[in-house]
Amino acid sequence: MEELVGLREGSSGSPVSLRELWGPCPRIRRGIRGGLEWLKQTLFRVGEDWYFLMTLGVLMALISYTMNFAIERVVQAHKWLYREIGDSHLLRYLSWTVYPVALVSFSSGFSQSITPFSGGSGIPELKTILSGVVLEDYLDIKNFGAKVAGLTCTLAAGSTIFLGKVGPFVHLSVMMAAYLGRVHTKAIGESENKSKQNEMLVAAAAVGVATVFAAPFSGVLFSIEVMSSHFSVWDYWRGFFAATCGAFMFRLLAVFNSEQETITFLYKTSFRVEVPFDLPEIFFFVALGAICGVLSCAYLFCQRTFLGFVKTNRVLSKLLATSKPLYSALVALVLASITYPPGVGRFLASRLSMNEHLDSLFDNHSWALRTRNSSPPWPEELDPQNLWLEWYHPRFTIFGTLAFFLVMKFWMLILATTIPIPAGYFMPVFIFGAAIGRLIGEAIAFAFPEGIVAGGVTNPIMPGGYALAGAAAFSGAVTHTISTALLAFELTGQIVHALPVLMAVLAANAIAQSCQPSFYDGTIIVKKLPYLPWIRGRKISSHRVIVGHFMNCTITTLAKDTPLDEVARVVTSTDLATYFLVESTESQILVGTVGRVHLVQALQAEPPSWAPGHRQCLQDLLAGGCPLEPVTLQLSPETSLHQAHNLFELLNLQSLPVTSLGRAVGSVSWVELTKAISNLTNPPAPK
Amino acid sequence: MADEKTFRVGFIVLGLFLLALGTFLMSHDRPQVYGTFYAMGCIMVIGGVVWSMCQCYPKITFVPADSDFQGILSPKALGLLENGLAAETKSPQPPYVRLWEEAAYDQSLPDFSHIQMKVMGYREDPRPLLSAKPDQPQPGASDGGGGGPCDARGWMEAAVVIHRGSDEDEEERNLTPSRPSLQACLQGPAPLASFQDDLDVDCSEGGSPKPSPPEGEKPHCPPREPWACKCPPERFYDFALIDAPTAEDAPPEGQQRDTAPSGCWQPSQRAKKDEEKASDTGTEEPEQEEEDLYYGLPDSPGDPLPDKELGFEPDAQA
Repeated sequence: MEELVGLREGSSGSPVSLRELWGPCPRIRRGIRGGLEWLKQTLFRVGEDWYFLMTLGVLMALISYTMNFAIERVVQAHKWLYREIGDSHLLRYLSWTVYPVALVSFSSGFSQSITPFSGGSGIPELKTILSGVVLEDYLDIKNFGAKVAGLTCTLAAGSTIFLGKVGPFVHLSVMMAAYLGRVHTKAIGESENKSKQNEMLVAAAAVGVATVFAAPFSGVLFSIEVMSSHFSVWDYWRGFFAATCGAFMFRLLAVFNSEQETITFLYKTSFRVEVPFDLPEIFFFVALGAICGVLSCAYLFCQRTFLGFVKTNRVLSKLLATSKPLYSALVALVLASITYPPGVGRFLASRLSMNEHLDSLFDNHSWALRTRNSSPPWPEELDPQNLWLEWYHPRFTIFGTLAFFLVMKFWMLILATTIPIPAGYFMPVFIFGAAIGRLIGEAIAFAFPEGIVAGGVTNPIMPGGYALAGAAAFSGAVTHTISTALLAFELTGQIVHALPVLMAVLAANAIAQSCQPSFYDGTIIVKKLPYLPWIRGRKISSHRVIVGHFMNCTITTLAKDTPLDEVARVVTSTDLATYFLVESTESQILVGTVGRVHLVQALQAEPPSWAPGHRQCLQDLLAGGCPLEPVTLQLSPETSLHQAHNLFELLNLQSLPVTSLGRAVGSVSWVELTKAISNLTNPPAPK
Repeated sequence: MADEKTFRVGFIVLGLFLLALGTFLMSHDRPQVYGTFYAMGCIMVIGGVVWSMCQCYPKITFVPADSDFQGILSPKALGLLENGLAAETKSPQPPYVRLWEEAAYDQSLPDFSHIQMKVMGYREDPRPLLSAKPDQPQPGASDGGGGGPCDARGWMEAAVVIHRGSDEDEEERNLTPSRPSLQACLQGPAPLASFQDDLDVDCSEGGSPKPSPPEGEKPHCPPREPWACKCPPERFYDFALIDAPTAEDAPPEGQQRDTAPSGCWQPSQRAKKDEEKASDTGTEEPEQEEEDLYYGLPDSPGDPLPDKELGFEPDAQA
């Protein structure tokens, strides 16, 4: 709507819009506005980013803590119900299964009804957005409430569904950062700056991970590794500042709530500090890393295949298309039936919540040695001091339980990842890796009851350390990151196992990165998101591919001397967003690009031509004010694929024109680049 | 603005969230914790509610007279455009661009003598421009131009007249938003009677009677003072002739009259400034531009060129 300006009679100064003149209490409003201006001047003298980053960190910590609080209350209520419902098997089964089924179907229905973008992790889409592609409405603030509610319900279902918090929380924090960016722009009063906005989004991704685990270092590093292909060091302080504010606030709220005495770690362990491991154990750690790598390849392959199967299978895809809550309810029913504690769940330690899983697996005693001679009974209720008793079964011993857990959770987790609810997939993978590590550690402790180095002081083997290494290695291999090693230390506060864990993570990554795309890349592949892949390896003769081989030669150019009828015809018959502007039809020298919207506006506002005999051409439209963007970057047909790829990744470009001796000969967008790269790695069969 | 509304709502929601969190964190041995949360939550909720309530004022909505002036476009291009692209033109421009265009148009309006000439020149035009038809087509007016009352439409016709007298690189869409201010300032004798002092002062200065066509982005000084001050009262009456049918509609549009004085303060202000620098042209232009700053909005490079469309050449159409 247009705005009229006016000036109040008798007052001097710049005219203000009529809206402000006619509002109530204009003097008070002017006073308030003046006060706000003064506040803005004093506050933002230092620089305005600090405040918004701090606000972002604090807000996300508040939301994370509130979600945890709400989930805890709901889970307590469910436990009370399960305890109080009596001994009837049917009633207990119903109370065990109806609860997650109801929560999951509500989560799915609610979040899907508000926006279809709310399902899944959100990190693959964020990765695409941070690489320059604009996914419309993905960062709209109205998805915020849907995702918070959906995520709370998913997490309240607990370890039955076995899903986590990281992915959607990163999405939430990026949404909040985009919103605060708009507040920032309005408050400062400058026009939108795309690169500045991008910086805030990158910082928000770090905040998301940091406030989930109260781990600023690994939050920043994990978000860098997962979401950026290039990271500018200028943005480093932003991520750390926001992540530290968030992590600090998150732990502070726990202190406020009298849950903790002071700021501590999320999962407390009590590993031996003086000699945490013996030197030969390093070999076992590396072997553990290799095993985790192989298992992660299997997991990634199966997960991607199953996701594709669910999308293409007729029955399942029809069910998903028509009624997502029904599909979610069915899957939740299956999962809950399997984890029913008096039934199969006995062997899965299903009474433990996700946090208790980690607490028990990081236990500093060796269960195999403890249960070698004695056989403790299974407690009626969960014993918070002896959580590890959940893992013990008299007949199968801990080895059987752990192995069964690994086998069952492998396919159950894959099944759970297909439910269209907002859920994170990092935490379950972390726990799965911890179980692998625990199993291997217990096996080694069983094989070497006195420790490895015999003679002198014996240091018994600590399977808890192996569990830590396994968790970090498996999750690092699945997500193709190395910072999970640091995350393991920040979660537990134990850095004594730094080197072996890092070696295990490196071994696992080496195997996984050479065999499979990461979890998030796999989702990008399956969902066909517009993300530019990287060129794998140098052995595929990629250096000989040049732009001329794969550029799009059919471009639509408009010459400056084209008559307007022709211009209108071209504009209506094609569907491009920008048109290349060339000097003249013969020379085809590239001059710039014209946006479709501006061209249409100019054509519709076209004035009549008055000079007799002078046909209007595009030049007149441009002179009349159609904005023309000059070409700043061009490719040449002899540019190599690697150079073009680097340009696109570094500058977050979407398309570039290709010129030869000034003449416009083609264009390259990420579509052509992706096709060229995929043709390189999977050469098409020769015809 | 839609953004502001989400900011207000977000502010209130955040305050409620802090209140809820404070309730959860209630612990009797440490009241300062939940006290802080309660205080912040209350402040935010009350602030957000007060802010929202201050937004309730009578909103002016201008009905755009759109999809008009089709005769000006070449029929073939227009046909193609209508078929293919009608929906694409509804791109909303941000208000600051509107204000800027409006101001640019105001400052580049020519002397009334030219308009009169053009009016004479186009009497033979088959299109009955000078009749008080309320629904004259207006190009590019789809983006919410003003002109609800007949006055505006009448002045639209005047704008058309000016437009037809100019070169081919005018931009009609720049004319559209300035319609209301145009009509507000050229309203009949009564609202402008308060300006008589200024007008007399300014008109006595003289200046060049023939406005040089404003070329480029910076309009020349003489045409800027132009119609607000240079026009002796009889010119108004000439113009008022064009407006005669619509002038009778003036009383019902009391609102517009109210806007007229406020809207007309601008040209007089500018006229005063121009007065000081009446003798200087050219190099003084940029400084004047900065002084006025188009109502506080600096030129931004992406905006369309302002005043070339009103490059009046008196001999363009003889």
